[in-house]
Amino acid sequence: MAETHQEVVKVWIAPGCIVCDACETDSPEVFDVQEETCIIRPDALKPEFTKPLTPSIIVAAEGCPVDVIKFETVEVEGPEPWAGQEEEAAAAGAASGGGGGAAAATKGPVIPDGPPDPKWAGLLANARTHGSRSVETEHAQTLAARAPAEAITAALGTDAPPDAQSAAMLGSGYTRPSESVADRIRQRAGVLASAANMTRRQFSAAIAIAWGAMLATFATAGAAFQSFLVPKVTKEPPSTFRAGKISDYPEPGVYEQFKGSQQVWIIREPDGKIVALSTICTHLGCIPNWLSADGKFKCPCHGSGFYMTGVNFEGPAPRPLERFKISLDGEFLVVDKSKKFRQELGQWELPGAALAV
Amino acid sequence: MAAGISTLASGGGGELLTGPAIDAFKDAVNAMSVPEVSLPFFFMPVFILMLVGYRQWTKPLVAGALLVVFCVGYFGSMLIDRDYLAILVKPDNVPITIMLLSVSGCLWLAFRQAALNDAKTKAGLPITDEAADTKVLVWPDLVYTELICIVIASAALLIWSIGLPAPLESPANPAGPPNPSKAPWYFLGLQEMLVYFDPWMAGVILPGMIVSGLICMPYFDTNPKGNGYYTLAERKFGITVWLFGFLILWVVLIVFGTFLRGPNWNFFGPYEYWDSHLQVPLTNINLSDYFWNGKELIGFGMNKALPANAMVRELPGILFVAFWVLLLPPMLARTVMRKRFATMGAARFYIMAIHLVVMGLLPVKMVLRWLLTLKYFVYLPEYNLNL
Repeated sequence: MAETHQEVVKVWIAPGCIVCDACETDSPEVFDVQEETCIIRPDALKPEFTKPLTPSIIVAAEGCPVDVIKFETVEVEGPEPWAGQEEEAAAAGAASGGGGGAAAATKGPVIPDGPPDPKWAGLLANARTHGSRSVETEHAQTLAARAPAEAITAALGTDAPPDAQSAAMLGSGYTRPSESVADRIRQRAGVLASAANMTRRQFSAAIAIAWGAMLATFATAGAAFQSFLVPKVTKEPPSTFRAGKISDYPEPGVYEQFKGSQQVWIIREPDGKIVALSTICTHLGCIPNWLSADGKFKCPCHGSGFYMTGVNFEGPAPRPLERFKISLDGEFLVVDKSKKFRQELGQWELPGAALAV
Repeated sequence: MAAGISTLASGGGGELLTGPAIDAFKDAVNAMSVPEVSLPFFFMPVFILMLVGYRQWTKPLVAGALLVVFCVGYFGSMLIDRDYLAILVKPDNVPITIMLLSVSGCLWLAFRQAALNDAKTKAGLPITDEAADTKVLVWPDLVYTELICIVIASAALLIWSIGLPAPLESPANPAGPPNPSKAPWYFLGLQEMLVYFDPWMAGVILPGMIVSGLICMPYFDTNPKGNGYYTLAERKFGITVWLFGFLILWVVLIVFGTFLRGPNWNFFGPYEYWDSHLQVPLTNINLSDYFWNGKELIGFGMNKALPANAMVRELPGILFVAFWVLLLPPMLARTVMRKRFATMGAARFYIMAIHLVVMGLLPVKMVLRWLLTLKYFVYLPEYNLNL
């Protein structure tokens, strides 16, 4: 018979720790004594980690004054790797560890099968069926739940590892893993499909069509909304217009007959030149008034003032009014509003900014 | 507006109360109301008195007397002047009256509570009485209160809109815009700012900084004292700056825009006829003109032609603005606001200080416009950049 030895694969703390620090002194890699209880360090939850530490864990379990350190061992072939280092500890571990590990290794604890009590099960079913959320029923559920939980704990013993407890809960039918959302959707779809006498494929197609129709509706509504944002008809009057004859502007002054229709003042300057001045204020785009008594344009919005030439001199307007291109076609004046001349850029000196007569 | 103007055009005569004493009073108020007089010599002193004497004026008797004086002046003026009456009863301007009364009421409530709380703090008493359980439940107390408020507000709006129909005017005509063209009442403060600044500045940057300043406010003053109760002693700086911005640079400007801005955006006294042919001689001059050509304009300085290069020409203005926005905050941090800088930390302090100096730019520009008819610090129409 080949030589075998025990190695610790799982260690846990049963309730009742008195926080005495003994275990952490014996095996600091595994145990972590905290304020309220002692916990197993996260690393020590793996068998690969605990196996080499078997002697110190066993020593810690031995040394625990309240015997709450529990562990499970497996048989491993070959001599003990730590033999000779801590022979005493290993020997002690083989003796007591065998006791602790025997329950887990040989046969599982006796677990009650099925719903433990028909009376509680009935109450539970009743409460679920009616969907009631009254206090009494919830209380009844709590009572019903407590009985089998206690029965399972009693059957397992207090020193059972935590996962054994949850396994027992699952196996007994006391708890069950909740279904995944996807499973529930599939289940529900199956119920609906069978109710409508459809195959699963037909049902999927119907769902796809419904979603498609909804998306198409939203897309159409979005497109309709988008079309409100742009004008259906854009009115683009020709940028050029005829502004009468030169003889219409005999005296120096401001002529306002195209202010309403073209937003242009025709101005005969004292030196005889004719210019076409934009009526849009260069501050914020209001339309100034020509005050003939003052000899100035005055904006009603923020009080900007311009000389008859269009040059700004008061208020917040940052630059002079703009001039449009003006030319002569026979005896008619032609104003081209697509071509602007800005004084501050020196464009009033360019040909077309004024008409010398 | 057309209706208002036509009423105004009939102005003069027909008042209930007339007489030489009343005429003298009206002339005095008209002369006082121009902004270069009323802002520094009326509104600012009142503002400072409000903050300094908040323990005195908030006493119910004093506040009640002030309210009576205000109402007699505000509503009683309708009896002595037709032009004022026309402005006040215009449906457009009803919100102004509501605003003045509600702002005054809120101010009184806040300062009254602050006075009481600050007195308690000074006496070493707790602000809140732990024994008095003033907490109420959201449901039903709060929700019912809100429901009642909704009903009352809806009913009031309904009655108001039926009783005073919306002042619709004739279709828009590009050839004949209303004169004066006024923004909605709540934007009249912005419109007043636009008189002093380029549209980019007064229409975009300053409103943007108002919004960002409001967002930043809880991070500028993180003093936990004063949370949840009214106080002035704990937040002197924050409340003073905020109220200066709100009352002087917003509410007062709305009042100017409503009562004092007439045709061609000229200034008129509250009891003055809105003469659209009034001649107001006014020529605005840029800082660069003053700098390069001061000898001719103000009697001292250089007498040179403007440099051809725009950047050289506007160098004084650019340097001034750079000093104001970039150098003033660090100077404040090292001098008068040293403590504040230490407690706030550099990032928060500089964000606060930049908001502060930019806000200060508005009154500075206003004063310079009145004193020197200054147009722009930086005048770069070549790049559409003016400040």
